Amino acid sequence: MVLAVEEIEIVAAGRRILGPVSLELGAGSLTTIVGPNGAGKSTLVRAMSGELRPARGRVRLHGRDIAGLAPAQLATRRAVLPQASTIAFPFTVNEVVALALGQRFDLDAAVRQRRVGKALAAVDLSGFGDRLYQRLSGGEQQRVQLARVLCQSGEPVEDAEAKLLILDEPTSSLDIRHQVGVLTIARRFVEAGGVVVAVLHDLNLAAAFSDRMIVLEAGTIAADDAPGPLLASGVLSKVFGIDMTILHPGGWSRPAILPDFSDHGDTPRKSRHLPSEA
Amino acid sequence: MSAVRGSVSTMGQKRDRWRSRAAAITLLAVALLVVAILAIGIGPMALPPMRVLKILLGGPDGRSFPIGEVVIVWQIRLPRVVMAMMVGAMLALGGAVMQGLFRNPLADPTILGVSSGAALGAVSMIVLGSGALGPVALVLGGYALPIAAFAGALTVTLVLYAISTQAGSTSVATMLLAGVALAAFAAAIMGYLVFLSDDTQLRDITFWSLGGLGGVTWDKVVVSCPVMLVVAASAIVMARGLDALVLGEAEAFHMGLRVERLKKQAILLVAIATGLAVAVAGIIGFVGIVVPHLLRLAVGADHRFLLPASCLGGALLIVSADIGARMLVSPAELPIGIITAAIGAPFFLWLLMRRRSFVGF
Ligand SMILES: Nc1ncnc2c1ncn2[C@@H]1O[C@H](COP(=O)(O)OP(=O)(O)O)[C@@H](O)[C@H]1O
Ligand SMILES: [Mg+2]
Repeated sequence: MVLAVEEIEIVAAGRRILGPVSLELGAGSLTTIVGPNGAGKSTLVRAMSGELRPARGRVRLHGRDIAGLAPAQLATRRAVLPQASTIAFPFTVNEVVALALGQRFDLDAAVRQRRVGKALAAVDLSGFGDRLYQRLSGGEQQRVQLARVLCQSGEPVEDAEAKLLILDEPTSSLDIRHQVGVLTIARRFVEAGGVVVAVLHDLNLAAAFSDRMIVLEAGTIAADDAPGPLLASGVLSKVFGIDMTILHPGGWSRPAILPDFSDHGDTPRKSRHLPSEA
Repeated sequence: MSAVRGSVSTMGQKRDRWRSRAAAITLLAVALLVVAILAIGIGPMALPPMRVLKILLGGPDGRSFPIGEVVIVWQIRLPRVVMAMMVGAMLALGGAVMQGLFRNPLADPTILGVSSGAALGAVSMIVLGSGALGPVALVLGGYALPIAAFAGALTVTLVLYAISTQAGSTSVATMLLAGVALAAFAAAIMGYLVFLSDDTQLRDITFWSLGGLGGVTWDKVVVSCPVMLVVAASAIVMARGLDALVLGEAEAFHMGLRVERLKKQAILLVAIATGLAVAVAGIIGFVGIVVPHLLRLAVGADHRFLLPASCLGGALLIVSADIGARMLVSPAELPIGIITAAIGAPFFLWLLMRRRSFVGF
């Protein structure tokens, strides 16, 4: 098992905001975490990354309690894409991506540069190296951050140990082509033996790309299954409070989800007619 | 998202960037040397630059020039210029490190009250050194003043950091307002100390509140410069850590940085740099914000470049400003803080106006 979350509970401001939660992530798997706002998705992945210390339970990476690992040891084994990043200084794209290797005193300049170039190419930003990060669009910034994370993790498997990528809403400000692009990168990472866990809001993307979906609700796991059975179980409708139709389009290997907007969509249309009649 | 293009050109451009950085550092160093020699030549007894150079090369016991000129160059003006360089380096470095720590280009030890804290420490030692703080002054001897200034600077930096950062993110508005409040508080206590002080103490206090490099001797240089050199060297060791911190504390941790350790080092460094500079030369404002900012515009924000370049840039600015301080109202001397404020305050306003149209500042 690459990552094992054992009965963790996270307490903030005197309130339990997550847990108890247990789960295990094996090599070569892409797991997505879905759930309503405030369900605790970010909290869970922050606990997985070692950023938050659980009040109870522990998180193990390759069998070792991450609370006992130094930041530098953790950094060579897992990389994290946070939900949002702003920078107040004029750093170039190349510099931001190269920050990923800033604490790696073992690498020489040529290796660094090659890894930076490769990561930028992977997110479709090859010509952007000398642009200022602050001047990029939100989606481009998000892809630069992803490149930084890829640059940090390097090869999906090194020394027979699978690397872990943690992505918190990696597609939130991307156009549809780049959303698919990001998940394709994640897919390739797991096919090469790595492990990816991603928080996603788009249920269709989650169902299409992941091996396993975890539904969080109010700090606990409401469902944890492969996309097919999970969609069929109806748990998503219950957790999000929206009716959803599960479609099986011809030729698709995976089901699709169509939320039922009609109840909600009608209300504003009616009210829009009212003032003109008055 | 798999197209591979332009990766070769990125490497070429990256090399250009390193070359332009090396050029900028060299340019700053050469300019500093030139201005330093000019500064040594200027004064009631003016000496042409070539003559200054020859006297310097002749050593402190050189015989080929009139003894008066050798003494003026070696015993009076050189220590002052050396001290001006070190103070300038400390001020700019303190600013650059503080901006890295707070992840904001508006953080500055003078604007946010750290210098006031240091001055309060120094003034407390002046006024109370023979009274309430007598035992402390006795134990610390010549180091009492710089240590008191350091303690004042450290207190303000810690309070400021505690107030304006929560869960790893800094609120700019809170930071600026807390800084204003802390500076005002320090000023209030200083006012009270002024009320308690006698005439000689009062003159010392006036000196501290406006800044100046008058009366610098080799003795003072020998006490403070070694520490300043250590501070400058350790700042450069922190450069990669400060770079990582630019993305945020959580991100820096994810990338393998020991965040808490770096923050402690940075806070300590800001306090030592500011405390030393204030103990030696009083409050000299705006160097910490002007120099790093201009350097970032010119050659980028990478701390491995920014920190050494700030040392050189700060030194250049203070040596130049000290020339102004000595020339503008000669034979009298203007407090140097007046000159840096006259340059720095409009610059700060310009920065604030620019900030409104700049995303993510
Ligand atoms: N530091 C904190 N202090 C108090 N409450 C917090 C803290 N961090 C998160 N929470 C609360 O915990 C819940 C889960 O947050 P989060 O994990 O960010 O949700 P999401 O699933 O939207 O990512 C939310 O209700 C949030 O308000
Ligand atoms: Mg979240």
